[in-house]
Amino acid sequence: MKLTAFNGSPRGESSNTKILMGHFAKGFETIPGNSFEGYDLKKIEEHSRYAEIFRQSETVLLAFPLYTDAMPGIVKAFIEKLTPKEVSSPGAPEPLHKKDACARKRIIFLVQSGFPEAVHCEAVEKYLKKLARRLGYECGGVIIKAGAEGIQAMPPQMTCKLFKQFYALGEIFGKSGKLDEGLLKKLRGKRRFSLVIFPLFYLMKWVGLMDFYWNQKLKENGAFERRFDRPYSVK
Amino acid sequence: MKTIILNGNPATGRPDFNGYLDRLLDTLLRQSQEARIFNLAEMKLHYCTGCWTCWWKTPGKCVFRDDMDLVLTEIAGADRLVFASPLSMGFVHSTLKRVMDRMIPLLLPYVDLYQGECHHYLRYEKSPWFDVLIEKERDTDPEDLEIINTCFQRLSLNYRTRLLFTKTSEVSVEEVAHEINRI
Repeated sequence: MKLTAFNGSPRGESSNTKILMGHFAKGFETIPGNSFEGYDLKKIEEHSRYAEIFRQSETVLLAFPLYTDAMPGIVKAFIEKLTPKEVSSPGAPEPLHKKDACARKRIIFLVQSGFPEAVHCEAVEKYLKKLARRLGYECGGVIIKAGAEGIQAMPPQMTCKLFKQFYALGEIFGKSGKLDEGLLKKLRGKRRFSLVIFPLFYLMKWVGLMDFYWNQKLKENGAFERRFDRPYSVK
Repeated sequence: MKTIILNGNPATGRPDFNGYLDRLLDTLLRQSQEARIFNLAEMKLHYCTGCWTCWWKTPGKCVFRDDMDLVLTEIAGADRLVFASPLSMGFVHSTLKRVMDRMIPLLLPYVDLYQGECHHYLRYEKSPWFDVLIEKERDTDPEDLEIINTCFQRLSLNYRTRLLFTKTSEVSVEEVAHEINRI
């Protein structure tokens, strides 16, 4: 099987999306005969060419970080390039992408978010499932991974399990062409925090753990004192 | 009351939709509302690159110096923000989504529990109320409208405001203006 993957992160090479995709690809490629090809949607000038590659691929992965409760702008721009070229006149036969292609072509998605709960990704998940139908593709599933923003700042022992899960997900997909339901569920995690978490959240907030990462970065940049600035206030 | 309309109709889009929004603007102005429309396709606007300069280097200010400075100044002082766009592949056009991504300087990096979920704090005192005004595409169905409505409801939660309406351009300009005037 050949998997064509599109990385929709505006951060491109240095993105969390690419890291997660990489572990999925490694697992996928352990199966003899499988090959993986990745493209960065950050290169907007390449979108028309990428759209052509997308159309010619049998199995596609579209991956991106959650941006303001949906796909990043560059991903939306790419999706617009996937509009079927020919506009059929009334009474004309159904275009190919609606008939024969249905059974063949498959698309899977990966959405990762900074927020730790899966609920934030649910709206775009619905959109993606509909998008698959719109394109005439079979939707092989949507991988949701919440709370992934910090993975590059975390020590390896904290991300080891996560990367192994992505590897295993890729491996199983490489074998069966299916995303493992159990792994999907584990990666997705909690939809929302349960009530017992709330006191813990506030405790972490109180001792400064929640804001530590941001404050450290602000201080490194000498911007801590200006952290609440309102540059666009109308005086 | 001040209303800002973000028009995400692309340059190659539907001229009718621009006309519709111009009529809406006229109607609001006639009713002595303060209102302004931004035709985003004609403006210089970079895509967000996820660099977080606006959160940890120059708090509240994006790394790009483009027309977004003006848009953010207007949004920060607005009571009502209308996200307007023709639909394309089942969602608002990238011309509008690009600007939505660039709105994060209006938030602080810090997160708090809001309605039982993690959401960012607002950088400014308040967010405007949100509205969505879309033009259907050929294959738009109720499911598409529901998905878009949910996405913008989520967005309004993140900006700690409310989505007051999601309407299509099938609704008359007068009715939309009336809805905007109700609050």
